[in-house]
Amino acid sequence: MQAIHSPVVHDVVIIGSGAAGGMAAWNLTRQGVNVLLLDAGTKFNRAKYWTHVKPWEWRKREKRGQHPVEFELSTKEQPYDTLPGKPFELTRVWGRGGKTNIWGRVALRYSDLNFTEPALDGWEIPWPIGYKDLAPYYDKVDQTIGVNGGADDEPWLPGSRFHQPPPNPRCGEYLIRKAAHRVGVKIVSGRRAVVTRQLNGHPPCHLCGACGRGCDVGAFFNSSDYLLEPAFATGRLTVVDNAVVARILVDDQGLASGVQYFDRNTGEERQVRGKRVVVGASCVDSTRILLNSKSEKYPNGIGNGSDVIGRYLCEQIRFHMAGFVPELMGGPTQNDDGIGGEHIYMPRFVPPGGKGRDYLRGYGMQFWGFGAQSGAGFGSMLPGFGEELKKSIKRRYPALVALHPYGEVLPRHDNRVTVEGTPVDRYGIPIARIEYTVGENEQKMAAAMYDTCEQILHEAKAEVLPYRRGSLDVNGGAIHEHGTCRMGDDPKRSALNGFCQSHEVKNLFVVDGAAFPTATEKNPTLSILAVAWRATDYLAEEMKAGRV
Amino acid sequence: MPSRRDALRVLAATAALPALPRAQSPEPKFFSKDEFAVLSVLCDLMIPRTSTPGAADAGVPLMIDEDMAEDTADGKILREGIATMGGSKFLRLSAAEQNAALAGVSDTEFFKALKRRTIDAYYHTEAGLVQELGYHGNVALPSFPGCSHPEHQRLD
Repeated sequence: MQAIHSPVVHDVVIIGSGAAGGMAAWNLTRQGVNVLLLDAGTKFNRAKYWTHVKPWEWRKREKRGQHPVEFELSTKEQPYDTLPGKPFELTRVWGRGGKTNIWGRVALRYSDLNFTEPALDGWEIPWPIGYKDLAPYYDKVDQTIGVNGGADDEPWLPGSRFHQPPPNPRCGEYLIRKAAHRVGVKIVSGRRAVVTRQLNGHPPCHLCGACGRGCDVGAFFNSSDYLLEPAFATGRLTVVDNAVVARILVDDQGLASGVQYFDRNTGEERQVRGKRVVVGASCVDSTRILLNSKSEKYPNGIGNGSDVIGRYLCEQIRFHMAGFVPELMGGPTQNDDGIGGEHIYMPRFVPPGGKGRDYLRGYGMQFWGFGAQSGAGFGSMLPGFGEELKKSIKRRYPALVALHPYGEVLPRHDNRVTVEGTPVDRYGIPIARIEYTVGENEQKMAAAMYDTCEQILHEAKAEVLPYRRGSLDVNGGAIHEHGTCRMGDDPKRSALNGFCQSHEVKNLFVVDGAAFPTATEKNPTLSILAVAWRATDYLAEEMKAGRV
Repeated sequence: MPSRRDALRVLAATAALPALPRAQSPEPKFFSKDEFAVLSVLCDLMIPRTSTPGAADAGVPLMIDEDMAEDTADGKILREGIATMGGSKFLRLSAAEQNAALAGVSDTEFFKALKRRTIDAYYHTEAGLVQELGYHGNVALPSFPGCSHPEHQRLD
């Protein structure tokens, strides 16, 4: 098919509209740069979200042929490959705002301990940046997107002068905090990108608890409302919808010269030209694009002379334990929705003096799903049936507590994304294959994670639901992929410098989680926003100086 | 428990089996009429009517029937289980005998599937969620009161 070429040469072409691409577009346009952004989908229609459709109404609506807005990309439309015995669950959202439409909203700063840890323990490469580099950007991000949280800073969890007021904790959260405190585990107020006081025209959260169905008023940060709409208002942003990017094009000097994409509706191939290319299509999709961007100069993918692109994929291990706290058993049912998700957080737990710590890195913990939920699935894990079971479920319903620890997975050479020998997609482009397993370090860490959960629940005198020690979620479940196009000071061992600029291709930047050398134990979105802001500040300066 | 991500995902997952109004005439699509009659009794044995509606009152059997049209694995297990319980002969047993018969298979895959399906469906109906459990969430609030018990809030 004849490719359709546009003669226009854009200042910057951005791939992706999520936290990374959205931040790049917003920050560049407000500094006077004209941007063309390629989005693999379209804007989601907030008026059609089922935010306030009650659980018992869903079936009736579906019978009438209505469906909730489908955020997640289907593997039927765009497959990815895994190897037998190595499952990986990849979640992708193609459309304006990407995964920020459905993200968990947990907004944690990395501590300087997170940044310096790889250099201290010697596992793989050090971060080229530290907390002092990102701190001013974290401050600015907090003020731009609205993060609520406490002033209870911890060594592993820096605070912020710009937190909005946190919501009141639920009963179960106080009880678990108390039990954790008694066994030496610190629990702090959560940090979440949910607006609790009106901010920049975004209304405060109305506490309906249904964030996952899409917020009907945009009260939590999503890239579309918080970054792309203001970027449109500058008049310098153009977005191409349904643009599924295949490759980054290269000129005779080995610089990025544009992007090849396919129209998701018509399948037509198109090319756009740009003086700089910023990639923010999410870790795995960005990597697929980079690796498929082969040329004479870059035979194994653009900017990949080091062969690190695609390697060192690192995510997080995770599991769930739940139980019922005695103080709340048989009590009244409360409205436990709050701001959606937990109002508390366990920062990285380090046993005093590192006692019994036989693994590198560590874990934090989330606590979603306390108290009255819109269902009682736990009931099938209780014994018996009949009236006794019905009573037993009702008695436990207000008393549910749930622990969800997240552990850092080390970056490993053989945990990777490749496009070598993979099937092609509907556009004829090789799909991504994910080859990923966790190792001994993670198994040891998981044992410690189970110990901590057991200690807390035991101290809380909770009746614990059945679980199997050592079992972990399917890899990919945390949706926190990192590492496949990592930054570093050594160009032989990293693809990008500390400003997300390709070591080899000076006008190419990769600003999403792929750029992170480690996964940490934390939810990465706040850090992706800060890193992308800093990277595009640098890009804007380099453009002004005529260096790129 | 959720096997995937965060609160929102849990919400989406737990809301996957919503309710049906009782009034419609129960015409099963997956089960035969005889099988459906047995299924209805079994659902009520699992979650019986008390001071609040039981599973059959809440329309659970028809919800399960609808869902089985899309999940043939559980459908097969339930259909075979109904046959193992004696098919329509099960209906002629006394309530005590029916109870004992169900207790007798409580370690089978059939029992587990029946229990999981009944519970998932029942506690997503208005009868199960609101009348039985007292759920009053998913509404707009001006502020979140949170815990009001000082004894819960002390750290020691």
